[in-house]
Amino acid sequence: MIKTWKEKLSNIKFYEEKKRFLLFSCFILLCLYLAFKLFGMAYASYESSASLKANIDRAIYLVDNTGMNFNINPDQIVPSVDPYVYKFSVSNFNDSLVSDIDIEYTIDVTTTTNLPLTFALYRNENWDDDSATNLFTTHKSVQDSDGAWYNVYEPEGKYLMEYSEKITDIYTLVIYFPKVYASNTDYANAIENIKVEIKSKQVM
Amino acid sequence: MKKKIINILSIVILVVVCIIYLYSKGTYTIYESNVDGSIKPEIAKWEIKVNDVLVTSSEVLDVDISNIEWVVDHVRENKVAPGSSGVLNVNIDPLDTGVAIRYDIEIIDKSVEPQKVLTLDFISDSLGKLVRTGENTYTGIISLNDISSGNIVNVAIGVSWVDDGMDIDYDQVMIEDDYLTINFKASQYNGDEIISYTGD
Repeated sequence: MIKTWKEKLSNIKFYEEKKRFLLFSCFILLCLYLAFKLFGMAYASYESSASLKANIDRAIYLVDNTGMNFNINPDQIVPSVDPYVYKFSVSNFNDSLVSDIDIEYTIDVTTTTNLPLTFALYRNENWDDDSATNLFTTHKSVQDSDGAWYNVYEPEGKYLMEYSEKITDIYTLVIYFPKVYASNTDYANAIENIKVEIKSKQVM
Repeated sequence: MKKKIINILSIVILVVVCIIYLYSKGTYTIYESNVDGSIKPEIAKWEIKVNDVLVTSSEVLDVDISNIEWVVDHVRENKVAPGSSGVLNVNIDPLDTGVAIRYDIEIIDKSVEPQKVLTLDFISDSLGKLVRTGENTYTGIISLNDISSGNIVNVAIGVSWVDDGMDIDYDQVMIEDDYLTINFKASQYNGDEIISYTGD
């Protein structure tokens, strides 16, 4: 066999035949190499994959102030001997859920300055008790970019609702519009806008 | 004539080099032979459980991580909120696998995708062989010795919910992938060098 190959090789005299022979040899070698390479890749390696899902139970953050019907109708605030009394509540639970987080909150009341009203806010007590404490010790006047003035009432301190118990704080907002202004026509068509804002956040 | 010889020699050398290269690579496998004289090599087993789920089928399975220890103040136990930190435990049991195992854990946290909730704090395995091999990929090796010793590898993944001061929409329903994505891959280890990630 070697003799045959020797004869064959020696008989290759022309350049084109040599070139063809070399190209053919390289092609065979390349095929062999690829065959072994792909065979190795397809057969020899085990592999498995998985997607790991962390079961995470997010804590419920809940501040509920829908427990009481709190609806101020500014049109109905007219000079009166008796003050106007409104109640609202702040809770850390509702019918179906309880907060999983300790929450602290503040209450701000912002009013326009159209009417000579005075405001008082009481927390978890009867407003007409002698010992009742008005949370509005002072207020500040601020002006917005349009030049309108507002009164902002900000009780000091923050109120805490711990997740370990269901808590409801009941607030009483008392609005005074003294009767003496009844004859004053300056306020005849004026309406006061009143905004109560509860700002809460997680205790860290 | 000379040219002829050179050409033939070149071809022969090429063939020899190819054959040497193909057979030079070692393998990491166990074979058993029967004593009766005929060799019946058994295919090495490939059986791995991750958190008690067998993951050696061809499909990508979902594996739950329920054993999470959360630490946070002012939050009910086992609940997670901003400021929480915890450790996710991944247990890799190689069972009777007959080859050394390379496992890769890819973690997609808030540093990789900002919309994720959790941030990776640390990751380590009980064999002490975990190597960071990519920006968010970590690689470990379970050797045949570890397998024959019956070791179950515990990978501890420390995560935290960083309070970035952003308000959270608590009405939004969140699924597991919103917090963190962890992809696990196990492959036969052939002795390739594990190259540490050097960063940018």
